[in-house]
Amino acid sequence: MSDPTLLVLASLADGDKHGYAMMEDIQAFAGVRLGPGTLYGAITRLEERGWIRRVNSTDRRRPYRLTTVGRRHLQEELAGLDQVVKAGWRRLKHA
Amino acid sequence: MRKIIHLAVRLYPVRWRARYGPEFDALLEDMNAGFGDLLNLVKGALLMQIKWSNVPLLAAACGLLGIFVAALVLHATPRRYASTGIIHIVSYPSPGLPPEVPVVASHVFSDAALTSLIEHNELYPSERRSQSMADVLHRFREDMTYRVTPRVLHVSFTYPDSQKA
Repeated sequence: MSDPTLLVLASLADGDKHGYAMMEDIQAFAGVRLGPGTLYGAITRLEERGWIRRVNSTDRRRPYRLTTVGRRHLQEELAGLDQVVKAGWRRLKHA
Repeated sequence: MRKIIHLAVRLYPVRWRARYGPEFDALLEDMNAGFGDLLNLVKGALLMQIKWSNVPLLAAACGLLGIFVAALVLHATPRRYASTGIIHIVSYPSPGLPPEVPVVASHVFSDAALTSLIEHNELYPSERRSQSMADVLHRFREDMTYRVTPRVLHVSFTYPDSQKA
């Protein structure tokens, strides 16, 4: 799983995070280090689609939050991935 | 590196920077960005320019990227220096070269003469440590050009060290 938008959605699933916190979190749970251009490219796309939104903050480090639509999209994507993972394991066992 | 990265942020569209600029700067400060991040940032800026279609700035960004890549290639390419010797024969009465020239040339370019030149001038030190003298001689001959045209002998040698070349 290396789609940056999916990684950002998964990172925000357990709470609000700003850019650097997402970068660290994604590296910790997925072993993928997103570059700054890739991360903010994903954030820009997700915000345009309405899947994440900015949280008001006085800090320069603006946190982002998963929207209801974004959460639903993440659930659908993960369900699809889950099917692929299960099918892959099943076929490996029978091979 | 930090200064270059902050300059590279300017490659992003103005409207994008107006929205994300301060938090993007904060991210770059927090993450202690390196060279790979700079490349990633430039790529991100180009994609954002295409997406937000600011054509003149995109052209300028492509130009800057081209200059940057050219500078990298130039920096990565090892420098080589060439020396050239030309012998122009003017007083020999018959057409073509005097018959002594090929004989002299075969002596000058013999394995023994070239080996002596390599050892005396300490050429190809790393190759001599890791390769046979036959391989080093082969390399030496590749770095030399020897052309004969009527009345003119042209010998050239390229080498990374300007003094030795």
